[in-house]
Order: sequence, then C-alpha cells, then structure tokens
Amino acid sequence: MKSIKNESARRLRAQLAKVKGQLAESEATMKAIRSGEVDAIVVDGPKGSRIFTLQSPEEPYRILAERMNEGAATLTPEGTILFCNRRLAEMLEVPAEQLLGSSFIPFLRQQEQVGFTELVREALQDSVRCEGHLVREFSGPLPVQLSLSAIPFEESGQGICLVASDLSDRKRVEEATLRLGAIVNSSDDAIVGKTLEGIVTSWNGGAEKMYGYSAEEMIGQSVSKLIPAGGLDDFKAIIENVKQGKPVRQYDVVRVRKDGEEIHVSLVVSPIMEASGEVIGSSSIAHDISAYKRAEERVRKASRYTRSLIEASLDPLVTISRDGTITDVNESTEKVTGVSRQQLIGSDFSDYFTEPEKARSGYQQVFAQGFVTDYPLAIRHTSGKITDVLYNATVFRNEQGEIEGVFAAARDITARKQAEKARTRAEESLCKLNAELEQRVEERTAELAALNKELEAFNYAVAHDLRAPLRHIHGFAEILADEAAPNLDDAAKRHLETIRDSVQHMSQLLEDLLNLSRLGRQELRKQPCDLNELIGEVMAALKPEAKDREVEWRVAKLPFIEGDPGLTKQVLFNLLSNALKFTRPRHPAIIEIGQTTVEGEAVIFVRDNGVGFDMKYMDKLFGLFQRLHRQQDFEGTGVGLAIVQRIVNRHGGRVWAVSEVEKGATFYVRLNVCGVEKNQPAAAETAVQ
Amino acid sequence: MKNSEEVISKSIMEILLVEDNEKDIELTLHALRGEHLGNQICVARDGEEALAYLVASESKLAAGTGALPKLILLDLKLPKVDGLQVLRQIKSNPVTRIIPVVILTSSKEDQDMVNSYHLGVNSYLQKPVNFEQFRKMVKDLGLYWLLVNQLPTTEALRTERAKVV
Repeated sequence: MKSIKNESARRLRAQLAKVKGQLAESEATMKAIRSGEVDAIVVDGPKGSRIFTLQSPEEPYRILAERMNEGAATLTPEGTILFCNRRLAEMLEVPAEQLLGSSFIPFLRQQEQVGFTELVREALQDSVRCEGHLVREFSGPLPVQLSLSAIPFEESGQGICLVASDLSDRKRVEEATLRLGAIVNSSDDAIVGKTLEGIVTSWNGGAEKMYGYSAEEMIGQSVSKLIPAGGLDDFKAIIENVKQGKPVRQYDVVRVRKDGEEIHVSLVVSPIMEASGEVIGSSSIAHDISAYKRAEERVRKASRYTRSLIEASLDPLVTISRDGTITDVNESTEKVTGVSRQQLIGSDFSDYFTEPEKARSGYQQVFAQGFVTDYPLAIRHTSGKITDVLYNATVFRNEQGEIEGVFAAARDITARKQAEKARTRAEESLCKLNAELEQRVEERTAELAALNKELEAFNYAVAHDLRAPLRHIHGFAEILADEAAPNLDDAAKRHLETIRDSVQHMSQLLEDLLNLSRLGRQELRKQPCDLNELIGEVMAALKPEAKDREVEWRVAKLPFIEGDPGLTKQVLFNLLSNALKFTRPRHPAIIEIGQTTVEGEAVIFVRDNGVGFDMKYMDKLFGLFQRLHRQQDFEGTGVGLAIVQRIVNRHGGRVWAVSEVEKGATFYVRLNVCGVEKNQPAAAETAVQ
Repeated sequence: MKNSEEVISKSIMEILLVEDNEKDIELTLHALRGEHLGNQICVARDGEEALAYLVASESKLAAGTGALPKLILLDLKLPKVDGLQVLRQIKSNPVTRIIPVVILTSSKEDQDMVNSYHLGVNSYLQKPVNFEQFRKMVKDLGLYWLLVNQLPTTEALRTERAKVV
C-alpha cells in the first residue's frame, strides 16, 4: 500500500510540476496574446501541443462568445480554463487574463466541486446542465446554471464548452414567489384566483378553511357553487367590473360553505392582467365577517329592541345634553307636547313646561346629583292642555365614564291628581254624609227612645187602665146576675152571660197584645236549650186541654238548640196548642213532633191531622189578629202565630207551614241547632233517625 | 180631709185598702163583705191619705188608744203619692214595717213586681178580670192574712215601738 501511495505521490508531484510548467508557459503565452505580442498560444495536450491563435478559424465564435450575456468558457477535461468571455469574468469578479489557464473548479462551492468534475466527464459524452454557485471574491455565491457540452479540439481531442447563466434574478423571483405563496397559503383569508368564466385556478388554505372545500375539490370548478341562490347577479356584476378593469372594490357578500352554512364575507376582487394589460382572470381575497355580522346584528337587534321599548313607553322620555338641549325623544313626548320629534330635538328642554325655571333647575339638579326622583312639573301642550307629571331622571355616561347627558322619564299623574281630587271630594261628601247620618241616627235614636218610652207608657196604660173597666164590667155583671137573678128572665141572664164572655175575650186580646209587645222589647237570653225538655213542659201545661180527648202524641228525639228558653218554650206552646185546637174534630188527634232536614238545614216540625187550612191564605197565617177559622168553630185572638213568627225571627230563624184543607198542617221551624255544621253534624242526623 | 179624719177616728181597723177607683173599691168591698171581712175595712183614696192614716195609727198605738192595721191592700196606680212610694214609706218605718202589705193591681209588669218585692212587699197579686176569680182571690187572701197568719199582739208592738223610737 505504502509503495503504491508513494508512487502515485511521486507521479502526482511530477504531474504538478509539469502542469505548473505548462501553466507558466500558458500564462506567458496568454499575456502575450492579450497584449498582442503574440498571435497564438501553444497548449501541450496528451496528443501533443496545440496552438491557439486569435486569428484561428474559431475567431467568429470567439466574438460571439464575448458578446453573450451568459458567462462562457472553454475548459480542458480537467477543468482548466482555456478561454472565458468577459461576462464570466465579471460574474467571477476576476480579470479574464487571470482566469485563462487557471482551473474553473475552485470557483465552485466546495460541496459542488466533486459533482462538477463528474459532470464534466459526463459532458464528454452528452450535453449536461446543472445548477451551482460561483464563489466570488467580493460578493456572495452567485447562483448559476451551468451548461456543459463537449467540443472537439483539432489536435488534442475533446474539450468542454461551459455556459453559466446568472440565476440570481430568477432565484429572487422564485424566493419571492415562494414567500408570497407561503403568505398566501398561510393567510386565514380565502385567496382565490379564477378565470373570467369563474373557474377556480388557485385556492389557498384560508379558502379551504373558510369554505370547507379542499384545493383539489375546487380548482377547475366554477366558483358559482359558493354563491347562494339570488347572489349570482351580484357575482356577474363583480366580474363585469373586473373585465372592464375598474378599480378594486370591497364587497360584503354572502357565500355558502360546503356544509351549507351561509357566511358573510368581505370580498376584495382585483383583475389579473397579462403583461399586455389584458384581463385574463380575477383574484379575490375574502375575509370571513360572519362573527362581526352576527355581533352587528345582535347590536342592531338590541338597539331596535331598546328603541321599540322606548317608543312603546307611555311615559314621555327625553335625553338632554348639558346645556339643556333635547337630544332624543320618544313618541309620547311628541304627543304630550304636540311638537314633532324633529322640532323637539335640538330645542331647549325647559321650553315645554309651565315653569321653565323649575324645569331648568330640575335637570341641573340631575347633572349635579346624578338623579332626581318624582320631580313635579307640568308640561304644556301646544293646544294649551297642561299635563301634570313627575320626572325621574338620571345621568348617562359615555364609554369613558364621562357624563354625556340626562335621561328623563315623565310619569303622567293627571289621572292620579284627578283621582285624588275626586277622592278628596268623595271623602268630604262622605264626611258630610256621615255627619248628617250620625245626626239623623241620633235624632232617630232619640225619637225611637221617645217612641219606646211612649210605647211603654202605652203598654202600661193598656195593662192598667184598659183592664180596669173590663174588670168592672165583669164584676158588676156578675153582681147583677147574682143579686138580680130572681127578677131576671132567661133572655136577660143570657145577655149578662154574653157581656161576661165578651169581657173575657177582650181581656184575652189585651193579654196577648201585651205579650206580643213585650216580645219586641224583651232581651234575648240565648243559651243551649234541650227541646225535649221544653216539649215535656209544654205538654204538661197542655194536659188540661187534652183532657177527655183522644190524642196520640208522636214525639221524636229532638236536638239542643241555641236560644232563649222562655221564648222557645212559648213557640212550642203556641204550635202545640194550635195543633191541639185544630185537631179537636179528630178521633184520635195525631200530633207529631220531630226533626228533619230542609235544604241542608235542621228543622223542627209539628204535624197534626187537624182541619188544616187553604194555602192561598198562607200570607195571612202569621199576621196579627188574622184568623183562618170562624170564632164559633175555633176560638182565638189571631195573635199566637204572630208571636211564634216574631220569636223565631228574633232568633234569626224561619217559620212556615204546609197544609191542605181537612188534611192537617205541618209547621216548620228552623232554629239554631247546637252542634250542626260545627261539631257533629252526623250525630245530629242520627238523632233524627 | 174630711174623709181621712173620719177614717182615722175609727178605733181599730183590720184592713187598710188603698185604692182610688170607686168601682174597684166597691167591687173589693163587695168581695170582702161576702167573706164577712167588710166591717173592718178602712179605705184610703190616695197615697197621701194612706200615709197620714198610718202616722195617726202609730200615734194611737204609742198612746195606747189604738192599733196598726193587720193588713194593707195597696194599689200601685194612685194619685199624688203612688203605690210604690207608699210601700217604701211603710217598709222604711221600723214600726209600720211589720204590717203585711199585699199589692193588688191590674198590671203584672216585671219591673213593678221586682220593685215591689225589692221594697219588701209581702205579696203581689194581679186583679183578674173575671169577677168570680177575683172574689175567690180576695177571700183567700183575707182568710190567710187575718186568720191563718199570726201577727204580734198590739201590746207587743207597743213595747217594741217604745224600744225602737
């Protein structure tokens, strides 16, 4: 290994020395050529020396090469520059003279050098092309495209023709394009290119996100699938503008996403022109403004809602600026003032009140304190009509928290005031009425007291003074009958008897009347009464009357009632004695006493099988001194049932009767039964059964 | 005053009838006479007269020349001094207080009855319209108060009066 290495090293050194020698020779030659000292250079090649002269047949190509815009050189297969044009020298920033005879390879970036030598070998077979960078002394690497092709040398075989095209401009464009592409692609805005027919030619990431279609789905498709029904006309108008090259405009339009959702976009459309200025398509940048639109809609809705509330308010509402100028009003304000909105706004708030000064100090107070509550003012309508109002006002502030104005709401209190007046009037008249009434009551009470007193006196007089003559008549008739008996015939005796009977009857009438009168004045002493006990007492009292008669008493168990025991007993006595009286023709007389329920209420009844009465005289039944039977058939004064009714009424009860001539009668009395509807209604019912 | 003097002049009267109505007087006397009580009756026709009679009889009692009536039949409705007033006088005098007083009246007003008993009346009767009943009532009360009922002797009353006065 070592020997081989050594050998190749020796050989290489020899080669290097040879090349250096050749190079020095070439340099001298080239210098001579450049300076014009020589006409030709001789280059030693493997196939012997070659001579290059300016006047060689290659002269026309050399001139062409010098004129080229690309860098050009001819190289040996090893890379030595045999010729280079000025453009290449410029590109390398080295004088052309220095380049001749030097190797081209060191002018490439290190990493490109190996590849280049390989490429040179390939170029000997076929033309090749590659990109690389030329290392320059002063500037940075210059991107170039290198084209290599073999050229035959006359004597020494093949050489390489190299053309270097400056790529820096193109690279810049490419980089800019790439950067732009990245920007376009990373934009959230949808950036879409399309032909004038609306066929999509480019579709960025923003468009994919915004519309939901991928670039693959959209490119080549019509953009119209994004346009909602009814939006095509707008679209056509936009395209028309673009075609005419009109200035770029911004449009707010609605577009449809792939998922069908409509979105609001702000669209900027610009024409795409060819170098010639001909419009070949359009590009659009769309910004999704749906969220903004929604927010805007919300605000608009909220504001519409607020406004409608304000307008709907029956209270006149105004806003006032610091100097007292009205800045806004609602419909109620127009109505109450009779002035239109346009006129109101900008006018002085205090102009519309009966007391402008008071109105002014009112809003000044609001600015000073922040609010007023129930501030009374009177609004004057253009017609002169005055509306009493109470103002409630507060300041409102702008976003910076500064007081911007006063918001004032008036409450119409005309109705309230009128109501107050009416109430006061009503109260006054009520007071007056009350006073009158009280006085009248007093008078009446006094009158009544006097009447009562009179009545008492009357009763007393009746009791004493009317009875006395009766007593006397009876007494003397009796004495007469006694003492004159032997001298009297039968007719006279009968007449005396009639006198005494009449006196007796008159006396009974008086007695009953006094009783009835006493009932009206007597105080009720209500307490629970056992009706069974009272019935027992009454029956005992009636025993003499029932004597020698066939009477069948049917007495059911009766309840306790709440009432005056004495008066209740009187009721039972009168009813039972009536029953006894009117059953006199019956054998047996049947008298039934019991309890029943009428219209849900406990009722006591007394039923007999007596002569009864005609119901058409019902209204007379309980009347004072009213009798439905002849005196010779059934004696009586016509007071008993009147007494019954008075007592029952005074107890808050009711008495009525049902009868038919010759078929008996039933008297019903509704009294206040103890326990019913209170403690044990069921027990009361059972008691009946 | 002729009448009262006449009345007072009588020595011992068993019954003092205080009644202003002549017909009632006649009927009452008729009834009493029927029971043989009629002779011992003195009639005062108003309250004043009744009280005067009692003052006089008290004096006689003290003097030993007479006695108090054994029974007073008193009507309530009287001219001048009414029945209740007379009753009050009788019962508030420690001497006359012992004399049984029977109210004989047309009315049976509760208030009259209560007042009468309150003032110490011994009995309260309503005159019935029926004369037969009246006669029986008068007979019963005369028999009871003058025969059945026992009263202190005039002597005892006199001694008692001396102590009280």
